[in-house]
Amino acid sequence: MDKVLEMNNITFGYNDIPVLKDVSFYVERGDYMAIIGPNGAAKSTLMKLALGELNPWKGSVRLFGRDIKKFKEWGRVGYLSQYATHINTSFPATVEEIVMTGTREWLRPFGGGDLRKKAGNMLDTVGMGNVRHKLIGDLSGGQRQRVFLARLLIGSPEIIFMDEPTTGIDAIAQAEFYKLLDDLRKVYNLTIVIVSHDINSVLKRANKVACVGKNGVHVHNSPNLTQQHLAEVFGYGIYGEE
Amino acid sequence: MDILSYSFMQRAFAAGIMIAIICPVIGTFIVLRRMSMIGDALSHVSLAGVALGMLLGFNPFWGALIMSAVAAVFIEYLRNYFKKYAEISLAVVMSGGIGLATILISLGRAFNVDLFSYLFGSIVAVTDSDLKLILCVGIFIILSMVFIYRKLFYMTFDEEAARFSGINTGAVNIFFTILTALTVALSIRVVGTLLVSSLMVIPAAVSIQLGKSFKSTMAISVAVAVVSVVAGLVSSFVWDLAPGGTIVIASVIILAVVLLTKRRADK
Repeated sequence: MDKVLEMNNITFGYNDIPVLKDVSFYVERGDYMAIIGPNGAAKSTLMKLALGELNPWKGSVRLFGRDIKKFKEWGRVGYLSQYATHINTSFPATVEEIVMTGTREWLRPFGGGDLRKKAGNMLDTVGMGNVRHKLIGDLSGGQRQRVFLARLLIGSPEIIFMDEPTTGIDAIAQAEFYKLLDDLRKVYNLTIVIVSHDINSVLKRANKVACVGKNGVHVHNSPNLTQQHLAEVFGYGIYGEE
Repeated sequence: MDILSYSFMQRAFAAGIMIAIICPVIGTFIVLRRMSMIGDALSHVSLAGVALGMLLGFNPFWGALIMSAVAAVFIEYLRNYFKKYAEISLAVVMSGGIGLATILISLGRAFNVDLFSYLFGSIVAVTDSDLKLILCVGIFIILSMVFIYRKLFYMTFDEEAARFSGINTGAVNIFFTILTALTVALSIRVVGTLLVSSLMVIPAAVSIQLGKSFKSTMAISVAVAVVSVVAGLVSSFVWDLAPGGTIVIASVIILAVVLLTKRRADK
């Protein structure tokens, strides 16, 4: 099997207090992995370790078979945070300019017709083609998140890491975001790792779930995940039907 | 035009226009990165470099160039050390710079006309060799900015995403801060150490109000700076005033007009 991400016996903590102990799991090509758990359960920490932003005390992380410390092919990786709702709204850049940065054409400062066309096509794909010349700050949080998705996809990543991508976005836009992600996942054959509070939305879709709780990290195949499992992770039952 | 028949004015215009191109390009990024004070911090250190040059008898210009580049690296180091209080690094370097400058000036008993020209700029002070240095280093800064423009734009808008797209943000940060230091050092001959920062910040303040895209924001800030420098140099020549003051006041007038017009338009 083609393992895209491998976390091997990871132990990590802050100020000498371990928050993750001996965590191991892997993500295969095409997987949709949800990382869930209560607030402060080190979900984002787990993602930062996977991306090499934090160094584990013990254990190793491999991305596309390569040790994360030596990993250089960042074009194969996409990252989406909750930044869409926190941007500097007076930043003077158009939607198109923001999307063009995702092409990773670092040595073409002034873009060019082909890059603009590529950005336009990608914006059409995420349903934002009509706002390409607007300033990024004039869009709503949900619209901005779609733009950021376009910025990410224009670089043709194989795996996308998402850290609470729908935080601060209204319920309708959230539902639309997950629906769009489903479509894009099929079209671009994406592997997805998502940290989310939006338990119902992600559990419906994920084929793997990492439950991060006080008893450690347990990885389940999503259909096998029962109310009882979730109650153990969160300390109370929360899994409802949508 | 009579004014251009003087060779010192030709040099002042050539140097001034080069500065009017690089200052706002660097300045727009500085303002958007919420580091408006960095120009002030670096210019105070460059004054210490000027004083050192005067004291030890080498070209003060080189002193400014080297001291501000060293300070740039030091600022980045402090910024990483005080991660949550990034502005501490600027305050420390700024006061350290002015403190050092004061000591060096007192040691050299150098409170003279030459020092005055470094503080407030001078149109007669730009020599042939100064001009060559300004043009060469200026072109280096422009080419460097073209080279890092897209990465810097990405980082300025969303540093975390930029990092995960494989940009070595630490290296780009240091390089950009060094370019800022070089820009400050180049500009002090014409605008003076006390006023160079405003030539970086004010055109950006105008362009952010008017820009409809990042590219147009850059273009507007360069246009504002060029108009301010030309107007400032002409009035400096005509009324025999220090050009640093006239250039900055010209840009402040443009900012005021833009703010007032925009306010009226928004009503």
